[in-house]
This record gives sequence, structure tokens and C-alpha cells, in this order.
Amino acid sequence: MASKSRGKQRGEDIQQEDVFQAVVIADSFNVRFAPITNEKPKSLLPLANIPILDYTLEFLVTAGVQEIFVFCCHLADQIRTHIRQSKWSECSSCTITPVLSESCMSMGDALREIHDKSVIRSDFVLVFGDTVANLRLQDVLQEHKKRLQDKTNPQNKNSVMTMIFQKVPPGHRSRNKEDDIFLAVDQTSNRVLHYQRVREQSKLQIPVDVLADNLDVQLRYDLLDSQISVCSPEVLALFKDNFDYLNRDHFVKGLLDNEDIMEKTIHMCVLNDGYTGRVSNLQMYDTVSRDVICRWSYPLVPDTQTDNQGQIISHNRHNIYTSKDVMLAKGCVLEQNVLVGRGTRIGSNTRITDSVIGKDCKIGSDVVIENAYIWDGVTIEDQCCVDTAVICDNVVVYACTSVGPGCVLSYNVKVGPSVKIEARSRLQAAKDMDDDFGDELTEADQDAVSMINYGSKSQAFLHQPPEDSDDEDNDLVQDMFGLGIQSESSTEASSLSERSSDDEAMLDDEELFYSELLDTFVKAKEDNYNTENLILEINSLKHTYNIAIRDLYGMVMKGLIEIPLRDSQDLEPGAQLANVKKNFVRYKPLILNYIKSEESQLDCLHALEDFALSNKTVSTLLVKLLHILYDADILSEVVLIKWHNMEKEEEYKAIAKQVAPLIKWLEEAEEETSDEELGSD
Amino acid sequence: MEFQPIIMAAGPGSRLAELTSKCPKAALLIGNRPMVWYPINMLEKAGFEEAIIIVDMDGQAEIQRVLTESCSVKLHLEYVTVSNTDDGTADVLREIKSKIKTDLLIIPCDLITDISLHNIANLHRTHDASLTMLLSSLPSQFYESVAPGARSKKPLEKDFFGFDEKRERILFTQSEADVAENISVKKSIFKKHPYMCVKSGLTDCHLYLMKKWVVDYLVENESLAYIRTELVPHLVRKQFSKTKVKDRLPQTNQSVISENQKMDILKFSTEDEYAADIRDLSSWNDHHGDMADCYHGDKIRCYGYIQEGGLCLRTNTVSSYSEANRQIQKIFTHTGIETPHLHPSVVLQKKSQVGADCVVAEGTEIGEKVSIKRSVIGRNCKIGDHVQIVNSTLLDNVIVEDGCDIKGSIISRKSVIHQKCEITNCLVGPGQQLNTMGKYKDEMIVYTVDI
Repeated sequence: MASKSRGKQRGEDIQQEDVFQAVVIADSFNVRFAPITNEKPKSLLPLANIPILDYTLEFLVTAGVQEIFVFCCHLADQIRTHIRQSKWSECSSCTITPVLSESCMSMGDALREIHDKSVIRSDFVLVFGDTVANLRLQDVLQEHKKRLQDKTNPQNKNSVMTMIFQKVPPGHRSRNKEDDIFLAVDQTSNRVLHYQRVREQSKLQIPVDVLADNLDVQLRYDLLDSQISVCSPEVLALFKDNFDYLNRDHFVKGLLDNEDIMEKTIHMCVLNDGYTGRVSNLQMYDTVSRDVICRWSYPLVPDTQTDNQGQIISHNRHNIYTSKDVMLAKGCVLEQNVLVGRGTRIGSNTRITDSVIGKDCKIGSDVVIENAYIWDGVTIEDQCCVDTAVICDNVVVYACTSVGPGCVLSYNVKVGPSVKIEARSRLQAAKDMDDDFGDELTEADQDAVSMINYGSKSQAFLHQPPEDSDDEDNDLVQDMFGLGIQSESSTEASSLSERSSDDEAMLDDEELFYSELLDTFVKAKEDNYNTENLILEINSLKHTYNIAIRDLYGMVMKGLIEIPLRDSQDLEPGAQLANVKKNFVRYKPLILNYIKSEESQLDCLHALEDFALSNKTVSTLLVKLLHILYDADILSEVVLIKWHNMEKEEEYKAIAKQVAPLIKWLEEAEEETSDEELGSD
Repeated sequence: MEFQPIIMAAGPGSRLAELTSKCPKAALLIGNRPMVWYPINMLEKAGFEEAIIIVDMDGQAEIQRVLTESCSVKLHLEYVTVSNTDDGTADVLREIKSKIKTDLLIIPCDLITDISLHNIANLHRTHDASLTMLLSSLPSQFYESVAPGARSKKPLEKDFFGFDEKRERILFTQSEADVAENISVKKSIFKKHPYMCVKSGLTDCHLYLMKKWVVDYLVENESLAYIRTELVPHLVRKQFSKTKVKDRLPQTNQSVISENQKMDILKFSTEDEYAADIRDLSSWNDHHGDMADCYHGDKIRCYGYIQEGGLCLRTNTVSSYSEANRQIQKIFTHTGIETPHLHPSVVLQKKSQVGADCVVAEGTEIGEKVSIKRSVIGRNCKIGDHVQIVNSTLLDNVIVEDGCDIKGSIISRKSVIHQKCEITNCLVGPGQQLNTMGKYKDEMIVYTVDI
């Protein structure tokens, strides 16, 4: 020690005095948990019978954070009271300070508020108050600090944020569909080059510059964004300077887009061990709860944590957790992954699996509970059935009621007896306040309706999600809860990319052209193009892909049939046909622009023929389609007859047979008209 | 024989046009050995006994002459001439289809590398690949050096290669020139390969290992003319194409519109039945993270072998050609060729110096007080007194008169540099006469110069 210079020693001393700080945003600024969150802030909702915020705080304290600022906004008082009464209030290693502000509308506002308070002095951790994690934050913090001291590389030195990710391949249960992110990262430095949220698009766009400027780029679609980040204090200043940053996405995007101006960089790290999950929506509530029950989040598991009343929970085989004073009647079965809280009684022959049951609940006999989250003081009478639902405090489910998948019963709701609650309903005990006018039903009517839907003893009203929600990503995956994993593959099947790859035999240009053409039609429909613009678009596409004009006729026709068919896949053939017809009427000017001459009509017929061979629906509808086209004066009878009389290859014979009646009818009609003409002579 | 080597030596060498006007590209000398000798040497070392060499009708005689003149070739070479000079590389394969019996190893004539072919072959075998290609990270001097005769260096066009997590399988290729702002990649590919590495500093060495069915497919699909620019991207894209609906639903066959050109690549890409069975039964899988079958059931698989370190360069541009000559001693050591840097027959007058990094071929006479550094001097050259040659390449039969100063240039055959010329960074075409006391800088001296 003596040999070291004094200056260096002083530097070390200063470093050691750094306090490890964390900012917890205990609000998600959205209404995904409505109506539950109307009465209780989201971070205080029980997850495996313990408020979510406690998981976050426990995680931070265990990770060595010494000072935590909990930013509360919605129902802030409840959070403050909770923190005051919790074990953290007398925790010596860590001070927890609630920061209250009812006026904040976004995470950006919250960070600006914290900046104004100037309490953050060094690098800090930014987390949401709904995070369950057991990561080793110290390592990440060290990595971040090391980067800042790297004098050789300005990109390292200018780093302001290290985002933490976990490797979760697509299709994994704990992959949050709202946080479906795609990331380009520099291989050597872990610098984030591109960050985007993946929506429904079938292709991902990667800016060329990102790839050209860096020799080795990782494109990652297998990461779960933990939304935990280690930040330099500058982050707060940057939020302050750019008041249009509402959330971290805006911040990241703004920094990456203006990297040359701001000269700030963002890095990332992937943690391979440890667990992280964010309860950002109901689907994630389900996933994270199950992970906690299955002990992935160890040591944050039910049996290691005690609430303020000293609840002690024992862990048994098959992940069955029970309190000592739980009363289980004869013949009741707790299958697996079940947590039952203190003071709960469960009747005989009841079967419970993959569920959490809170304190002081009364569950009757012959009840089946699967994959449900039942909070405190709930009564479920005999012969009920609850599947994949969230049931809040003091709810009563009267006898013989079945609660369908994806239901949410908010506080004090009463349903039943002997009804079936429709899947995915969100019920609350009181009517929506602001719903009074505009709704044509009188109060008595409403009551009557709810009696019919939710049973004679019910006290339940359907929660209407606010319609003017300006949160753009709200509508995307609102209600994934209760749908299960299959939803992903089903959306996949209808996505454009899969569809275009069905026709692989087309040469690539044509294939690409066709998929672009379909996109153009979809876009045209959304943006309401007029015909001229649409024709212009199609013509320019034609030039780009070097498509012969004859092929174009066929593809335009095929596209106009395929799009409405795709939209109405599950409908009756009659309805499908109506859709196609509507589309034809709408785009008639477009069709007439391309399909004028006899030859083009023939080309179009050949294309339809091929399409019918490759697509079953079309082949069943073919005759009707031709009829529609004939009625719309797009195809003339002369051409139709000529086409029918042409030499056919073997596989087309069936089609020829199929359309024979139509042709016969046409021929007769023609004869009639010619007869008439003769007669008039 | 597992692989049938094919040396592509019919290229016109359009990027070396100034040098190839009177000499086929494959016969251009690098370190006084014809360019095509380097791939031949590599094949010999890998144990091949015969190879097909594709040559131009006009160039065959010259290539044969140069090969026998400058080095001994043990490999049995079967010369095949292409009928049409405009043919692309894929067209050539189509033409010689009858000669192709097994899987192919395609080597360009301008590849100089010390890589062991076994490494690439092993990658190819491990994954039973349809196509395996050699990629190399270019040493920076090759694209940073200015080409003789050019004033400014051309911006290098980058190719992007997307690899899987293990950096073996090629998931997409894209040339920087072909895209405007964004590269779009199908999400379904990311679903299969959520971790992709994109490398931009790699050069395709045009060395391919290829399944025989690819040639059968080429015969059917006549629209593909070039291997590098058309066939490879096509195969890479087709990796993720699915079996068509018609295979699943019999009767309703035929796709739309393309009725003339419909041919399903998947019909060609037949795998060895036993190999497929073995893979099904084995617990080995190429990926983890999902429960899908090995390779996700993809029948077409393209792999890339990335060479790190070692020596690998393509002498297809003037700058890389001159750079290869400058580094000739390095090339010789890497490829294990033992050549004295001065041929015993070289006549060297007193007070002349020839650096150890040079190669001087037989029959050359060097005058007094000459200094030669980092240069290659061809056969039967005459170099006068007080000449300085640095960083340059002199091909055969060049006469350099007294007092000349040549820096960073290429002097083609039978040129005469008269007294006291100063040539810096120039390319002098064959048979040129350069004036006494002339000063040339950054020039392309190709056509007849008035004397």
C-alpha cells in the first residue's frame, strides 16, 4: 500500500464511497390490468400471495443496492404505506425512499421528476416495480463502469446505458409477446446498433449502415428484454433535455438515431444464468407466477418469504405449497404447482392444479380449479369450475358456476349461481362511472342484463376498456391471457411470408413481385388509395421486378381474389364469395385498366385456372367467380367460350368439366340473343 | 472419388483488362509462375490426381505452354474448352454436365491460399451440405492499396453474409450494392435462427463444394448463369422454401403463372436415404432452443467456411495482382514452395542489391549499382545500370535502360523503358516503349505511345 501514490489512493477512496442506487418505477402507465388496478396499484397486486413490489425490492437488496427510490404515481399513498409497513423500513443495509407524484403520465415524466430532485449521484439501476428477478447486478455494474473508464475507445467511454437481456428463444413460454424485440449488436463491444420492437410484420428490416459499418454484427431475436438497465446519471439529463421521450424505447431509439450528434452509446449484456420476468400483462402474470411456483426464481419462492404476519409456508413434492392452518377436506386433491395461503379451507373431492389460492378463502366441494389465480377472502361454492382466471379479493362464485378461460373477476364481484361466464370477460362490482350517458340501456336494464349473464345473485358488470386509449401498443396483444401458446402458430399460418413461400415454384422475381403486390393491395385498402395511384404503384412494381405484362394480368386477378379470401378464411363459402365480389366491384376500374383485350382476358382466365388448381377454395368457387366476372363485364362470353373450347392439358380437364354448365348457359344465352336478332330481322 | 475438382480458368479477367489483352488471365505470372498453377498446386497437395480445367478456346495453348515452361505439374489435367466466351460460370457447369460424376469442387484460377481443403470438406461432410463455400477475411492491404495506374482507389463493395450461431451455416447473402436502406429478412428465418451473425468483411473466394444434384438442377433451370451472383444466392434463399402444397395434397398440383418454368428445387435436393435415417435416429442436433428436427427439416443447406488467419487472396484486380507480387515471398513460404529468390542463371553486376523479398527469374541480367526491393522480375529481362525498382512487377522480356526509377508499377511483357525514366504507380501494357527521361505517374500506359 505504501508504495502506491497518494493520488491514486484518493481516487480509490472516492470510488468506494459510491452508493449503489436504484430507481424503481412502480407504475406501468397503462391499463392492462384494468379493472383490478382501479383500486390497487399494479405493483401491489399479489403474485404467489406476495405483492409484486416485494419481489423487486428483495431482488435489488440482495443484489447489493444501497439506496432505492420507488417512484409511485397511480394510488401512490398505498405504495408508500406498504413500504412503511414492510420489513424494508427497518432494513439497515438499504434505504428505501418513496417518491410520489400523481401527475406523471409516463416513465419519461417520472425520470424527469427524479432528475429535478437531484438525488442520483452515480451509476444506478433502473427497473420497473413489477420485476421478478434474481440476477447478479454487481457484475453488470462493474462491466458498465469498466466501459466508462476505457479511454481508448470513445464508443465505450460514451456509453450511458447497459441493457440487460436474457436468452429466451422464440416460442418459449416466458417470452412476452409485447416485448418481442429484435436487436443488432456489435459482436466485440456489445454495443447496441439497432433496436426494434417486432410487430406483425413478416419481414424484419435491418438498416444497411448498421451492417456495413461493423465487421461483425449479431442479429438477435432470441432475447427477452428484462427492462432492467444500468444507467449513468446522464440518462436522467438526456430525458430532461428531450422531453418527447416517454419511455425507454423512445430513449434508445433517439440515441441510436442521433448517435453522431449526441455521441452517446448504449451497450447490452446477456445474462445466461438467473431469472427475470416482468409482470407487464396478464399473460406474463400467469407465466411469472408459474415460474415462481416452479422455483425458477429461487431464492424468490413462496417458502423463503414471509409476509408481515409471519406466514410460514412449507414446500412439498410436486411443488405443493401449503400453510400450516390450511384445512383440506377428505378426498380433495392438490395435483401440482399449487400454493394455498393461510386460513383457507378446501372442500371434499375438489381438484386443484397449477393454481395459487390466497388467504382465508373458502372453496367448496367438487370444485375444479385449473391454472387460476385466486386472491384473498374468495368464496367458491360447490361444483364450480374455474379455468385460467384471475379472481380478486372477496369475490364470491356461487354454486355450479363455471368461469371460462381468460376471465378476470375484480374485487367484490359476485357471480352465479348456475351460470357459465363467457371466456375472457372482465367483470367488476361497480358500474363504470363515466359510462352513464351514451349508453342507451338504463340502469335497471343493465342490472337485468347482468343478472341474465352472470346469475341471479350476481353483482357484476362488464368492464369496458377505455376506447380512446392512446397507448399505441395497447391493442396489440391486450388479451393474450387464456389463449395459450397456440396463438402464435395460428397467426403464423396466415402471415404473408408463409403464404408466398407456398408458391416456391414461381421464379423468385415473380414470387417477390406477387408478395409485394399483395402488400400493395392491403396497403391500398388501409390507406384508401384511389385507382390511379394504385395503378401507378403496380406499374412501378412491375418495372422493378421486370414482370411481363401478360403475367401481370394474371397476378392482379389472383391477388384480388386471394386477399378477400384470406380475410374471410373461416367464413362460409357464400360469405367468402360475397367478399370477393365486393372486392371486384371496388377494384373494377383497376381490373378494366389491365384486362381489356381478348388476349388479356384469356391470360386472366389461365391464371384463374392455375390458381384454382393450387387452391381448393378457389376451385370450388371458380364457376361462381367466373360468373361474377362475366356479370361485371370484365370477361366477355366470347372469350369464355373460346377458352373453354381450347385444347386442355390433362390436369385442366376437371376444371373444364366444372365450368361446363356455365359455358352451356352462356352459349344458350348467346343463341337466344342471336335468335332474337334473327327474329327482329 | 468424393469430389471432382474443376478449375475455372476461362474467365476473361475483365478487372485485369489492361494485362489480359494479349494473355489469358490464368496464364498471368505471379512470382514468375502462372496464376493457375497455385490452385493446381493446392489440389496436388490435397492428394487429387486429376482435375478438369475449363479454358477459353484461345487461351488453351498459352496456358498449357506457360504451365509446362515454368513448373512441373503432376496433376492430370483434362482441358475443356468453352464454346461461348460469354458463358457464365454456371453455364459452364451446365455444358460439362456429362463429365460430372460426383460432387464438385470448384476452384477459380486466381485463388492463392494455404488453406487445407480438408477443413472445408469436413464442414461439408458434417452437415451433408448442398453447398459449402470458402470465405476469407481480406487482409486490409489488399483493399487499401492503390492499384497501379489508378489515381484513386475504388470503394470496396461489401457483401453481407448472415451466419447461424455457430458461424457455419449461411442464412442470407446480400451485396451492399443491391440494397438501398434496409435489408429485409423474413421473420420465419429468425424464428428458426434467432441468433444470427452478420459479417461484412468477408470475401467469397469462389471456391465451392457442391452436390451433384445442383448441376442437375442447373440443367433444368436455365436462367441461372453465374455461380457467385446467381446460383449461390438462389440456393441460400431456397434453403427456407417449403415443400409445395401440391406434395401434401395430391391432385391439386401446379402453381400459378410460372407454368413454363415450374420445377421444384426440392425435387432435386435428394438426400441419401441412410444418411437421413441415421440423422433421425441419432440424438445429435445442429441447434438448441426449440424442439424442431435437426436443421429444422431443411433439405438444402449452405455452409461457409471462414478462414481466419493464414493466407488467402484472389488476384482478380490490378491492385490485388500487384500486391500478390509484392508479397511473393510470403506466399511462397505459406504455400511451401522453395524457390531461390535469385535464379542461378541471373547475372548480377557488382554493387547491385536485390532484396530478399524479391524474386528474379532465369536469364535476367542486372547491371551495376541497381537496387531492387519488394519486386518480381520476370525471365530474360535486361536491367541497366543505376536502376531502382521498388514495389514493382516486371514481367518477361522487359528491358529497363540505365538510370530508370520504377516505383509501385507493373511493366508487362516486352516493354522497353528507355533511359532515366521515372515511373511511379503506373501500369505499362505489353510491348510499350517509354521515352527517355519520361516521367509518368498514376498512368495507364496501354496503347501505342508516340515516340
